[in-house]
Amino acid sequence: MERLVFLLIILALVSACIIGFGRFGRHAAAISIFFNTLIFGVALVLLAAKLGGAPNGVLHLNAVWGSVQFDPLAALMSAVISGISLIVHIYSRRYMVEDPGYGRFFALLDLMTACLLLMVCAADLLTMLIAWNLIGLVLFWLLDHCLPSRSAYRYGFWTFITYRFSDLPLVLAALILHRLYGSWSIAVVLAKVTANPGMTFTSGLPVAGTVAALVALSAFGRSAQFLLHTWLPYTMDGPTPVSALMHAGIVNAGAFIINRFAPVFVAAGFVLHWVFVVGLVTAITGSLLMLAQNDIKKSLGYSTMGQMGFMIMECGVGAFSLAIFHLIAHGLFKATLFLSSGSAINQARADDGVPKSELYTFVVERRATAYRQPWQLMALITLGVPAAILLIAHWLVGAGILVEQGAIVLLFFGWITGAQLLFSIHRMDTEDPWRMVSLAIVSLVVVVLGYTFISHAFDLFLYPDVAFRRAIFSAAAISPATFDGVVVLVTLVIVAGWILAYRATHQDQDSRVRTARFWLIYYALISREFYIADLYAAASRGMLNTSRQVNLWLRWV
Amino acid sequence: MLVLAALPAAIFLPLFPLSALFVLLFCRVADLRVRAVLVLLWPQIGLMLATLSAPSQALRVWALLTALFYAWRALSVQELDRWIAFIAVSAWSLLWMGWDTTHDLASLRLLALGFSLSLLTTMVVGSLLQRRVGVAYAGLNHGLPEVAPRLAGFLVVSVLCAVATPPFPSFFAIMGILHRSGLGMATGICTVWLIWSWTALRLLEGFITNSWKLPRRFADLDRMTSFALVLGLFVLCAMALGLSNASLAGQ
Repeated sequence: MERLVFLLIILALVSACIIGFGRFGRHAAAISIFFNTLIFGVALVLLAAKLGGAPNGVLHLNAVWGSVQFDPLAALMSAVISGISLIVHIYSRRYMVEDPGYGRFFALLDLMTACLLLMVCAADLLTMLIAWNLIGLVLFWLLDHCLPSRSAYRYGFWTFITYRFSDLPLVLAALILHRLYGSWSIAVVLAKVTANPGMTFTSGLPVAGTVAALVALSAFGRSAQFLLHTWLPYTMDGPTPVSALMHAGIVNAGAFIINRFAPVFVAAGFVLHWVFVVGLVTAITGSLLMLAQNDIKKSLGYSTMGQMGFMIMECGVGAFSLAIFHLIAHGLFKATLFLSSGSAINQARADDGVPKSELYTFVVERRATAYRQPWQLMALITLGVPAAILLIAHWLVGAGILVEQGAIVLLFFGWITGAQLLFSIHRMDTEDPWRMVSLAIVSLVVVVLGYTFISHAFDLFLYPDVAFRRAIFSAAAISPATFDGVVVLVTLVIVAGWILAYRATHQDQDSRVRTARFWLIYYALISREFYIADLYAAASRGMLNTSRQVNLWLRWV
Repeated sequence: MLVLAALPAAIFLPLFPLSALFVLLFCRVADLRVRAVLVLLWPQIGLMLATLSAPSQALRVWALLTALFYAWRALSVQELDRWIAFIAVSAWSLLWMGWDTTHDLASLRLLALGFSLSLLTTMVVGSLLQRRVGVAYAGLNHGLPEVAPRLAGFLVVSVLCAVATPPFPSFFAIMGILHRSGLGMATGICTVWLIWSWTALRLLEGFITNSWKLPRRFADLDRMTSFALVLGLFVLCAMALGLSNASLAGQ
């Protein structure tokens, strides 16, 4: 089977070379799609074999690096990557048809597919580093596909430099592991970490904790976590298929790398708590900034940031396989959003979708006027219904699952999302609010139940060892008091939101004027994205200017 | 005393301010062949001299600071030749980090060669550009892919090759040095590497973006030259494989 894994990567590379070095004009797409269909077919065979219980294996092509492996994570990720890549290839065939760099685009897409496949199938640290490094580089050239565009280059550069920044912690982690355990093989070093989880450096620093922190830092850069997120919303100057591939596949690498190094995280519970906090902050910041955008593409960018926050948060609570499911689900829906953006624009040209006024609806269209349910009733539903669905869903999968505190993610995700959905229905004037509420609750039930069942299935596939699954959750465990505290906090946030909503609709003119100033400052802060990008830009300008000045003083020698 | 003994080596494994000698010499020499010899031999002489005395920790720190300083200075450089000289100084000064009694000199020589060969590739492509335009200067040769797509492609690859991009030899050279350094030093070396990448993309911006503004147009690389360059890059990658096996195996 591992030979087939190798074949996957080779097929993508061969396609890239044929298109890159040949002159095929518009036929480049057909060649590329042919190879990608083959790759997807092979990936499906591998996944089916793994589901059928085929044993894990490693293929060594060179003494030091260049080995690939066949394991559940590699099989699953290969199928996802090749599937999304094939969709993007098929879409690009017509979308890019008028582009002068048609062949180059497909060659780079194939190269990206090869790098992604190499990353998920790498069996040694060096091969993984090479793939990890090349992904940033190839992504840069894909984003900068329109070569004369300075803005595309500039924002592509932001992506590249953040990716390069995230390469370095992984390099350090790999070097530490190799130095201490004497092997580049991922399986060997992880086995040694598991055998001696309490090992320390001479300085007393825990090895597992340090490596886990470095891997997590690397994942943060790749998955646009807070403070390393500024590149993501600005990379919209690249072609739409690249945005789709990036948001659907590349940006999710953070969850993959944490899963790959799972045994290290089992021995470093405190790092998982840090991961949880970073994910939480990113999820909240991303969602906040998304709501403040008036540009749909930037809004989608921040939506991805919020989703990445959730994904990393899931890792932080030990729900590693859930993060992989989230990665796939997010990849599919975000790719759909990006690839259908062109049709959405066309549709918007035909019908702007702005709702008519109430008077127009009543007099001209002769339809009933819209109304709202009392807010107290809606607030009660918001608090009660999502929580009930979540508890039932967990109970159905296994009563004991609530003991695993990874359940908090579902609680947080499902509850907040459910509350947000019901809250927006309340704010929306509709002719039949109960119909809308029922639809929302039904869809929430489907989503949460599906999510719980599927994540459980992923758990069984990726981590068949029950003891290891327990060990991950126990590493991420927090004290029962903290757990209860978080549940209470979530409840308070929802209650506070409702109180704010009530006050906003019932306050008089004077109070509105008083609070307007505060909201204006808040909006300025949000619309400037907390000035983080400005701060980075000022710092890099400072470095460049001083460098120029010093060179002048030293006469450029 | 030790510092004094290391002084001659500090010219060839350049440490600031003695590093200025190499930059001056490199920028004065115009002939590609002489430059190639210079780039290939300079660090090897340095390594030969460095073995006469074991470098102190202070010297290593100074070497790291030199590497950081030249990487940072390369940020504002727009002339390709000077950029190569600055990156060469920055890369070779890192070799001090790899030198201690526990490692054999032969593998360190290979690491030096890895850096030199990668820089040599950039020099060759740079000379092809200079022959056509007269000067390889970022910002002046904007929109290069418009008039010479092949040359622009090779320029991009060769510049990336110089800043330790896999799978070129400089990548395995820097990995070899990182492999021989402590965690603190390795963090510093990683910072140098990060700045190199920044300088490379800043330099390329001046060649790649915008449209071609100069009145004179020129012929792109012919098929034979392109083929030779592709072959050269493949050979370089094969050498990188050998370098990785020699410098990163076991331990």
